[in-house]
Amino acid sequence: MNWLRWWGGFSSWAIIGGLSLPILMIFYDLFHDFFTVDHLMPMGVWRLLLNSLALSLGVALLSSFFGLLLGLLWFKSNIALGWLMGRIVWVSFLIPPYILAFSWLLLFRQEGGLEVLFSGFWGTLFILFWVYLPISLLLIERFLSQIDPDLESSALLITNWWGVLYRVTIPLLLPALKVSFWLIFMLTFGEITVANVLRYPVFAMESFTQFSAFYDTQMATLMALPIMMVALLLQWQIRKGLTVRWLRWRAVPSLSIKFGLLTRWLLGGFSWMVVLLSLFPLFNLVSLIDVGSFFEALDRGTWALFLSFRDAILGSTLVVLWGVILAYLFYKELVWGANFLKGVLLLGFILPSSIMGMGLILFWNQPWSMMIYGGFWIIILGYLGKYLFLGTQIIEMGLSQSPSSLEEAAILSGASWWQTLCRILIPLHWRTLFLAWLVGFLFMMRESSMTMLVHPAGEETLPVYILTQMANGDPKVTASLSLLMVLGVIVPFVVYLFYERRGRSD
Amino acid sequence: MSEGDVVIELKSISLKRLEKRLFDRFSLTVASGERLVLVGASGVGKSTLLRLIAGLMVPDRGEIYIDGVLVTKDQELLIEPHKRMLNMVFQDLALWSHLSVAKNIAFALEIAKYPKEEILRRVKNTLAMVGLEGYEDRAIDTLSGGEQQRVALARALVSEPKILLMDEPLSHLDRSHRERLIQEIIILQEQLGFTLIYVTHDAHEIEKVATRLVTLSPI
Repeated sequence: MNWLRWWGGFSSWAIIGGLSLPILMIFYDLFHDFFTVDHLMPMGVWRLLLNSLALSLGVALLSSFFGLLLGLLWFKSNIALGWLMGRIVWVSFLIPPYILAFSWLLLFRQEGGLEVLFSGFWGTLFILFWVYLPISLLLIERFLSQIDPDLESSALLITNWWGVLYRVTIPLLLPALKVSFWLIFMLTFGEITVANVLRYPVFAMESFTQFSAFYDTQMATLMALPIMMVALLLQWQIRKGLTVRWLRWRAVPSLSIKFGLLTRWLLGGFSWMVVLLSLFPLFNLVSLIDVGSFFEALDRGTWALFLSFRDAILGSTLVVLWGVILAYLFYKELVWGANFLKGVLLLGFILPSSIMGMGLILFWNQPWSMMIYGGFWIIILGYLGKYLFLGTQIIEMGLSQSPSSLEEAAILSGASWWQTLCRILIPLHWRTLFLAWLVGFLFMMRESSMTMLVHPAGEETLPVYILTQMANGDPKVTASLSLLMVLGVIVPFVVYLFYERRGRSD
Repeated sequence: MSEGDVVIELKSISLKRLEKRLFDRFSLTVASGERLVLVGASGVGKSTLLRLIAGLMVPDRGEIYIDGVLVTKDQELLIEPHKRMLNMVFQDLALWSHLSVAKNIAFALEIAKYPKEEILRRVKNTLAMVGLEGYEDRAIDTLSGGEQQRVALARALVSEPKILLMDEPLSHLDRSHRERLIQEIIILQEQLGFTLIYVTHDAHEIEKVATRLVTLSPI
């Protein structure tokens, strides 16, 4: 295994080092003539930083709190169809955030002048709460499945369910809540599209504007610095909680809270209201569309939709291919400095897309790299830098679930590590690989901020096209384009749900 | 190699795992054709000892000889697991659920690039040997616990090992199945003449299987 260790170490460092070069480029660009530029940010910018912090704090608190509440209701009680509700709410994550904002905004616009009420801080908070609620729910669901039912059973012998929740279940869920809080905090901190649609000035947007509108690279990178510092600090916090051990599914079913009939009906009603509210933007988009605008959208957006599919399929396939190798090396502990490398991967994921885009431009916009920078490969590279973390994490989680004896039996049969990987581990974990592929695909399909910055002429993906249409296009056509986008994302997700359901019942 | 010759020799093996010392200058010899049963409390290192012999682990210090050949010296694996002429039946059986019964058994032969006809012949013979004729195309998930155990045994025997390591292979079976399988394992061992190292907690299995008993004690 020695040469594998060397090869694994070298390739992992090369891959991850290569992907993090654009991030390093931002630091280089900032500091290489640090003493010659005026590196004081205008006062107004600090106010934007406060805006961003307030928004991130609000969204993280709200999403984590409701994630806990709904998670307990849907995944840990006898309310009917909790599993289904937990999956339907994912629609609000799958719909790109700016489309969600656009849909709600149109509704308020129709209601005569209420648009003002919805714009700004509260509107942005409301939309981003819906966007990130599913992340919190997913983490709570995963961690709930880890709780040993005996711990709750023994507590139930001395107290009622409220006591068990307060003293046993919720304290055991604290790591999930922590990860949920910090992850959502960071994702909100870097989100610019919703704030842009709802006209709420945030810090990341200013950095993006300095770079893309004023071409002031120095100011843009200077403003990226606090965001990168926050990301660096938080990636450590998040990774501490996201250990592979916690992400495994347990075979033992967890203990369920048994509500009485009336409470069940009341909480069931509340739950379905939440579900309907999450679907509301979708209904609103459909209600706005007529046949003419839909065909116009098809006519104008088909090429962009094709490009979105091409880039997302290619990107997610590469994420799985590299993710398998990296995850295997991490799982077998064949890489020196694995924790640091994982940290770099996570940093790529939580770093705002706009900043990743800036880094890509600064690094790849060189005479020697026009082959990449001038075509769609620059978009793919950006996707890899951002989402390789998700693929690697999901696959490592899957690999860690199978007993090592499966591999050892193959080794005793004379299989090399490559044969073991290809003939035993990959076929055994194809569901996990498909999940990793799908997650990558969904994220890449809805990505806009980075793609908007780096895409070359003629490579405009649908999210980018929709964003430009929102500013000055016909709302009906924009709504139709948005619906196309949503369908492109939701259909593969529904296919996965069928597989997931079948996998559980097998 | 004739019966009675030393086939496995562990010399002064020391191993520490997670701050716990499992072996301290431990030595053991196993004669050819022997049925050695390893017993001892949980966590004492019985499975670890099998893994050391198989080459799936290396000790901190010590030497392991198989058939007189030095296969492991300190932390260096001198001979790879599949070249040691041994095989193992794992406690959880470690059957690959995505492969059929025949494919599970044929795996080692395919890796070693045996001709197709030879693979088919050997798989058929081995299945007959463990009483699973006609099971070639069955999926692993459709088999009973006892049948899965037989597949694991067939997979271990198909490459005609000189040494078979069995790590509590019958622990998940009920009494009557266990009884029958013990008998079959003993008959197979006598017919094929391999050396058997068998880990168990069960007094009945010890009595039936062991020609020699080694008790491992905590350090």
